[in-house]
Amino acid sequence: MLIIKEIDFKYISMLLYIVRRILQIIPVIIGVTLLLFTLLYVIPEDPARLILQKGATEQALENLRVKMGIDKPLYVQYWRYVKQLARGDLGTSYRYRRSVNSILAEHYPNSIKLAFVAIIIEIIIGIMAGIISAVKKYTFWDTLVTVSTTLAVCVPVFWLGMMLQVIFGLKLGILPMSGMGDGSIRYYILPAIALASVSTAFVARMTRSSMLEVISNDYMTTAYAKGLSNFKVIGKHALKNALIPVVTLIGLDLGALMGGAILTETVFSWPGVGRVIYLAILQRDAPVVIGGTLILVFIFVFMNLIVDILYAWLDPRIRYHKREINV
Amino acid sequence: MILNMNPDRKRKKDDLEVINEIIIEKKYARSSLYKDAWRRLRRNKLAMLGLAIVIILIMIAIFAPFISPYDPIERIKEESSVSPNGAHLFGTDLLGRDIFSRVIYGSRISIQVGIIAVGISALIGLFFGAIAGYFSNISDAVIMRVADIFFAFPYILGAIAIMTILGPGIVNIFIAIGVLGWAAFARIFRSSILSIKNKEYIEAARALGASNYRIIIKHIFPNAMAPIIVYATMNVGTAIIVEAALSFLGIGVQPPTPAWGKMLSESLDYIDIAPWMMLFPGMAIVITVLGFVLLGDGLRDAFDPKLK
Amino acid sequence: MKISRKLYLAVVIVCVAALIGLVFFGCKTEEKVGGTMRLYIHEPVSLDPPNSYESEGIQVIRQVWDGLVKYDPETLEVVPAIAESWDISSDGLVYTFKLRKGVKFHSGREVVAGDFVYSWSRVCQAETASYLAYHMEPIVGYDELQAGEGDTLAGLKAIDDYTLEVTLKYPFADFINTLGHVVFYPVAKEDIEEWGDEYAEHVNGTGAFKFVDWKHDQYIELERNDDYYGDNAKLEKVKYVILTDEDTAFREFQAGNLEYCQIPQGKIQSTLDDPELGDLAIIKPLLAIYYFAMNVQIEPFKDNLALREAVNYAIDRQNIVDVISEGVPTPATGFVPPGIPGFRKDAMEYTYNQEMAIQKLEEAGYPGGEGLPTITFGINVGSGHELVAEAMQADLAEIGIDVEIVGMEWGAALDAFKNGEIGFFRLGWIADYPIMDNFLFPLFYSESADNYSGYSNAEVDQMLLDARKTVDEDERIEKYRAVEDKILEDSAFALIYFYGSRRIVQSYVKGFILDSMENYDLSRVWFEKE
Repeated sequence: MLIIKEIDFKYISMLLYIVRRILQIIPVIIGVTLLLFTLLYVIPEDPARLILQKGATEQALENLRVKMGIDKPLYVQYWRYVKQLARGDLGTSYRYRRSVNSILAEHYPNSIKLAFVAIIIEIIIGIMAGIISAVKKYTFWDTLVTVSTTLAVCVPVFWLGMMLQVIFGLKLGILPMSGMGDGSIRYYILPAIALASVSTAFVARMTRSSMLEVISNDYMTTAYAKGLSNFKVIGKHALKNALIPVVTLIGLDLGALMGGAILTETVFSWPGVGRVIYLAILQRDAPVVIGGTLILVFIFVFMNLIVDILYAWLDPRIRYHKREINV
Repeated sequence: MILNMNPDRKRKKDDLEVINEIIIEKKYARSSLYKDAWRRLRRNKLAMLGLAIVIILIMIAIFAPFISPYDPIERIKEESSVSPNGAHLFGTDLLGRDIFSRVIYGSRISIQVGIIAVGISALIGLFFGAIAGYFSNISDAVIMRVADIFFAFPYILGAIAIMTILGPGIVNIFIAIGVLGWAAFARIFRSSILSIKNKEYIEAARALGASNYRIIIKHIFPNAMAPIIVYATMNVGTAIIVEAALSFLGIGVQPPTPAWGKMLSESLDYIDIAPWMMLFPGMAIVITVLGFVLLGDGLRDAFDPKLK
Repeated sequence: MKISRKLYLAVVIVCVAALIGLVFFGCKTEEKVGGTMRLYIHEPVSLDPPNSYESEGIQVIRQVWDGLVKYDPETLEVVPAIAESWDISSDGLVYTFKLRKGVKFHSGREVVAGDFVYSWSRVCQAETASYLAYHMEPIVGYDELQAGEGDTLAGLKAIDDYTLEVTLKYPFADFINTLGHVVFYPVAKEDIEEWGDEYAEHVNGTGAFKFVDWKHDQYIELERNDDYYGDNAKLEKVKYVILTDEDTAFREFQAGNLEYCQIPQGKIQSTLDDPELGDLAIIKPLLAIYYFAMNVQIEPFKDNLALREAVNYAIDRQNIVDVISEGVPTPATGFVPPGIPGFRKDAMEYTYNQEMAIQKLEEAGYPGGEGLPTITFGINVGSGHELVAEAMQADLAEIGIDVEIVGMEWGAALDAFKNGEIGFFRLGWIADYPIMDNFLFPLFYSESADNYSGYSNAEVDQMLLDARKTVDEDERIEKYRAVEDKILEDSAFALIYFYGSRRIVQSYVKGFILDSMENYDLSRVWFEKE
């Protein structure tokens, strides 16, 4: 009887936790739309004037405003937008006169693919470097990893990109300098490295400190005392526990990578979503900016949710606390 | 306990000072926290290196006019795109301006942005973090939700959006970076406060009638500040990179003020024929940020050696 | 049956002769026909004529459509296309076009005068909110349609299927020269009714190439129209490869994957020096001008001709052209660029002359710049104009004029210029059609919507209106020249340079001519590969 109750309890509390988290997301999404909407429409400029390059008579501007739907007062526009949103329609781009959905649909896959490659680099290189430096603490390897991770955080992504372009694209000529080309993996390498640089450093550091903490734990010494080989010890016990925070980090990173790629995309002329949104901001193409950012935020928040759920599953304490004390 | 029972004396103040003395460990802990940290910091060679870099940079920024060989915006038409040589240590840019001088003057922008923008973030963050952490009720929930919104917002895009509204210019950069970064400060401060607030000495102080305000200022603050100081230092590095990114994208300082990010964007087209235009401003950014990161790392280790 | 030997022999000889003939003549023509030309463009905004205001879309549209008239690629004069001939009434208000018979849309339907009435009206309708409606402003009925009344231009009439009558609000002798613009291309009503807002992705034209497909951000494909009313194109297909990055595109060109490309900034000199590529580069002046405007209605430029002249003398245009733009543009010599009938090489007397500048500054009442407050110069950010602004700033600083550069977003910049908040700023202008009027009228007529500089001279206004009426071409050009002189005298502008093209074409592409509006006619192109 007790056992059944226990299992039920675990599932119910998980469910409650998930529901609670989802409820917490909704105000965030609404908050973001409101924020974006206000930001964009608070700009005192007239988007119509921006688009109509020549022959911008008052009449022509007015016609354009009607067509773009910006002649109505703000709350009317917001309400219309929300209704549209409920249908899954992100509106029509002012500049291109195409649906925002299709513009984003064309560019998102490119960003996602690049983020994916970056994450793989992060995972493989970051975790390996972290493990090596933890296990070989204070040796040459440890120093190497520590120095390079510290440096990686200091180098601006776009400069790193430019340097990579010069070294590998120009001087050595072995990798393409920009663009997506025919989509073959060669084109992904440089931008993915640039994109992943800072995150890889974080992952390496986190892995290292996490591993160190776990290794020095008492139960580890017990395992050693029991006579388990070094490899088994590290592989089985240390890694599993050490990786929990790292997995968290990577999960959050996926969401962040999508939004932060705009610099990499500019330097490498990668046809991704960051660049589209950036250009749209400059061109005051509000539907694209709002639509694109909303999706970015959504992905980020969603990833957060998944990570939180995983974390709660792994660490039951989290489920029961009303407030998380996380830093 | 040496409570003074004379009603004529200014009671509260005295009593609290007494409490301070009573809570000897805390008093020691407060000042010794910082003293110990400084001792540990001094022994950390890397952190000292970081501190040295930061100080040198600030000096360079302040004394720029005396150090730079040329006027950073003066152009010498005949010497456009000259590679590094004796007369021009870092070469010249497209308009014939000395890059070495421009890099030196560029430090002014970076240091200003780093310090002021982070200052703004810290002020806003501390304010809200304190409210959220200390009062722990509706205000806490609301503030944290709002912080979530700011966290969810892609940082660079947010900065670009704010700059587009406000227009280019260095003051607007302070605002843009400053306003976007408060959430992390709030969270850190809040959690510090939460963990300190329930400690015994606070209960004691409250039992003796100290006002909320006093408790916050005298007891919670100094201890909660440690992680803030660490984060702020690291954040200066981030702020400098964000400013460089904004200038790179063209939304930064006004021409012809030299800024490292802007110098990088000007060099973009000419990477193959004039690589020095890209090399030196970039290295300046790296070294500057490195200084703050090393210092921040060192501070973190100094305040809590267990974390190493 | 007995076949006569002689007949047999004759047949064999004929066959052999035919074979030989085929070998010699057939092969050669086969060599010239076929091939896919690949050109580099950015993603166009739209392929629908009312909204293609940017050069990328225009390039594609011009292959897919023919309009009433075309521009000769070398002289830029108007030549008949769908319109065979036309008559102009003596008062200059009524144009009667006789259309060719048998011109078909790619969907197979014949083009009739009614199509022009429909298309042009559609452009002007308020709900289309076309970016380009203003080109039709001279036509009667324009204002009404723009205000939302009615849906057909009153000034357009299809007298019969092959006769189109256009009535103007005022005599405008250059009207015929404007009709080569893409906005005047005919669009079939049934297509709009079927596709509505998605028409831009299913365009149906009248030109030498048919639209096949548009994969956004990847490519646009066209194929030869074998039913073209003129000489069929030789190329089989045209593929517009959409790339965001010039450098990538250039590398593709060098690798042989593109036939037509742009030379990226920073690589011009090395390309010209390259023994193979140097000859393939096309660097020529375009009908576009880059200039700084000084708002004569506000201080310190107001009523101070000498000051404005000082600015004009102080700027080193050649240096800007050479250093910042690698010699691609040409220093401006007047308002009207080369290639436009009426161009004069020496219209402007302002050259780089520091002594004159200093002298003029003194005349202006600010010897050595003393007493002159800092002038704010506005530019829009992020488009590379900072370097030019900084060069100008340094030039002016040399004679004592202090300039402060303020960068803004384009929208804010335009507002600031128009409101007079900023009195000194950079502008650019690209010609819509190759006529002097297109440079002078929109920029200098007081009421023109494109006049951001605040220039307002009643005499000039009158001269412009008068010039527009003048039927005789030479006389008209003289009048416009007089206008240009007057404006240059007023020195309200510091003209910097005429834009230049920096294109490159593979050596096996023959018959390719790039005109001064950076347009080309692919129906005349063929490949000659060994």
